[in-house]
Amino acid sequence: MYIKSIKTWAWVHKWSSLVSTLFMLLLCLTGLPLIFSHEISHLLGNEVEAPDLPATTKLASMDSILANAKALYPSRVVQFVFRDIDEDKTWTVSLGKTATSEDDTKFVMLDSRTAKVLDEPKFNEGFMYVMFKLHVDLFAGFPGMLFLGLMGVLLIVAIISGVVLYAPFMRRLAFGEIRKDRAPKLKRLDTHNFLGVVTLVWALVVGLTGVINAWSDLVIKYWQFDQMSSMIAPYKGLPPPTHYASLQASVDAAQAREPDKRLGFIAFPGTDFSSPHHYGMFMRGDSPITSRLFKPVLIDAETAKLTDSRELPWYLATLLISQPLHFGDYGGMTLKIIWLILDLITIVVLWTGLMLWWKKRKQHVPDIETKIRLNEAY
Amino acid sequence: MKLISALGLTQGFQSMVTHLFMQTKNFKQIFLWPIILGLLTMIGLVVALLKDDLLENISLLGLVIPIVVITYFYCIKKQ
Repeated sequence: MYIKSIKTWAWVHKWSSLVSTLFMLLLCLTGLPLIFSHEISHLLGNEVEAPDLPATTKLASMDSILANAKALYPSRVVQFVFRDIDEDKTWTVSLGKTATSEDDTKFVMLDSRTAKVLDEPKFNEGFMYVMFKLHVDLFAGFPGMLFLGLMGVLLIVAIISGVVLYAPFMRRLAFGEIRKDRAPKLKRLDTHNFLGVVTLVWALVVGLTGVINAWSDLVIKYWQFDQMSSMIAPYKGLPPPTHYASLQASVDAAQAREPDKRLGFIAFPGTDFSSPHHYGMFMRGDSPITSRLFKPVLIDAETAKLTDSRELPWYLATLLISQPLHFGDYGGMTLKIIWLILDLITIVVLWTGLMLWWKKRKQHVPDIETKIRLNEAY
Repeated sequence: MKLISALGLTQGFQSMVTHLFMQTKNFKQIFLWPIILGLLTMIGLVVALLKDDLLENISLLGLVIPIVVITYFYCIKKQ
């Protein structure tokens, strides 16, 4: 009975790993530069910094920021106004061909105090963009994301079955023992088992949060259907607005509703995070966790008056909290370096696992019972 | 064991014999260290997410310990 169940686990571990390994290697390799994307674009000189002005300098009106960005691309539609979590000197405006188009989006970065155009960052080209797309969807859009999500599920299966198999292989070995002086395959096996079990929880967390992120488009679609539709129900069937209220007045209305939070980003009318009649103001807190949990405040785009604001539902909160746990960007440089090391160790686990299979695929493969006995005999 | 060494047998053979004589470990013995390191990792990941102060730095230690353990067993300790 015991041996039979071990055989099943060995089969599960072999196939869940084999199917997903090459994609996992790709994800680990492309993930390496992504951990440091901020630092890398800084080093490459792609980041323009806003000049230092006295702290008492007043902020420019959001209306003039918007007007200056639109002046560069008058035929385009503003989609979002956003900035990084630790940034307060600039705003970046994204302008698309339509409110929802994703290709050929233009970005304009402006000084939040003077409303001057600082830069036109190219987020959709270059090395980091290629790394990002390979990591997120293999350049295959939504199906690519779902596919990588499925590979992530296989990784989780491989990790769990790997833990089960750890026990029979460790019955006569001390924790952390690597048989370096024996056959290379034993060293490889011990390395795979040891590194795998020590990084187990981290790999599970990053794998699981990666899978959650792969479903983000679906989660957001469900949120629109579940919450947004009832928030904007009174506006159903109305013709699109003919004029828009002041953006600054709209921001002020959202700030009045959430005085303790800061504006994270603005979704313009017609985008996935607003309605044709609303500005979606997304407010964030200050702590590592509340800064991720954007609270939506919908402001009528014609009158700049509050329409509705609701707490985030659990599924969107889960998605937003899973992001830092996947990116490792919530504990400064220390955490990023830890992420880097654990990522490299995971590559070793994947590689030794692949080699263990590759080296013996042409040999007569003894069943798992014999393998365990051979392992112990050495 | 002394006899084997005295006979001048290779260290490899010696460790082979050690393994045969080593008692089979039970579930607790096998998983004690993995569970401790797993808990440390978990605490490190979560506390750093909740707190933004000294505690964050302390909790990051929980994540560093597994790396230290790997370095110790893989690079420093003589097997």
